Amino acid sequence: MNTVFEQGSSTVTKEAKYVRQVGEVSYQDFISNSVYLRNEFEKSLKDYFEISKNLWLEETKLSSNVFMTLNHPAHLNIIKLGKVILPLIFKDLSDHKNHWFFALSSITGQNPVKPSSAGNLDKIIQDWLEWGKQENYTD
Amino acid sequence: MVIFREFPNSASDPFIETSEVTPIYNCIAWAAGNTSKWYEPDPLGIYYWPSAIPREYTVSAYVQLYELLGYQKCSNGNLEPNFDKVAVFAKKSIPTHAAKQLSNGLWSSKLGKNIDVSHSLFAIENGHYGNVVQFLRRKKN
Repeated sequence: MNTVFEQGSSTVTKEAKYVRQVGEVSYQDFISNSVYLRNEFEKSLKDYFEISKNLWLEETKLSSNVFMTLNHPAHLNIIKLGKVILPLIFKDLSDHKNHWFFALSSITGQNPVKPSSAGNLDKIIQDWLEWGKQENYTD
Repeated sequence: MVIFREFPNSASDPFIETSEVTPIYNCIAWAAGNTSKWYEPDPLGIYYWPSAIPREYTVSAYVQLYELLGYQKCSNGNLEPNFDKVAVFAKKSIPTHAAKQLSNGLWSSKLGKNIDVSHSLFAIENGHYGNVVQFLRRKKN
C-alpha cells in the first residue's frame, strides 16, 4: 500500500514525490547543460534589458535627480531580475556610462563608491567596475 | 532650435542647443560652474554634495548650495549687469532644476543627462521642472 503524506494542502504519494524530484533534477540538468537554451535565455534577457533600459533612459533623460528615477517601472523591472542581470549592467556601465548605481546597490546590497569619488562619474564607474571584477560579474 | 514636449512653452519659444549630450554633470553643477561632477544629495553618497549642507531634496538645501558659493537670495530674474544670477526650480516642493543667467539676459540650463541649452524663463516654466521658486544673485568679480 502506498504511503500517503500531507504536503501543504495536497496529498501526495511517496512515489509521486520521488518521480517529481527526479523530473525536476533532470529538467534543471537539461536547462543548464543545453547550449541552445542557454543562448536563447541570454538573448531574451539582453532584449528585455535593452528595451527596459531605453524606456528608462528616454523617460528620465531630463531629470537632474537620478535618485528620483529609481522607482521608474522599467528601472524596477531590471532590478527585479536580480543578480542574473549584473553582467549586462556592468557592460552598459562600461560602454555607455549610464547611471546604474542605485540599481547596482539595490541588487547587490553593496556601495563600493569611495567618498573621494562622489560626483565624479568616471571614478564612480571605476569603483563599481573594480567591485564587479572582484565578484566575477565582469572581465 | 530645440522643442521638448516636456516643456510646452518651448513650442513657441524654442531652446537653443549649446552642447552635446553628456551624463558627466547635471544642471545643479552647471549652474554652480562645475562641469566635472554630478551634484545631488542622494542618500548613498554616490554624487557630490557639500558636507556643510543638509543632504536632502529640499529647496532650502539647494538654496544653501548656491549661498555657499557666494550667492544671496534676490527677488527677480531681471538682468543686472553687475550680478550673476541663478534660478532654482521646484515641482510640488521638490527641487528639480537650476539655471544660470547669461550676460544677454537669457538663461543657460543643463537638461538632466541630456544637452545644454539657452532659453528664456518663459520657455522652461510650467513644464517638466515646474517653476522658479528662488532667484539668487552674486556680484561679478
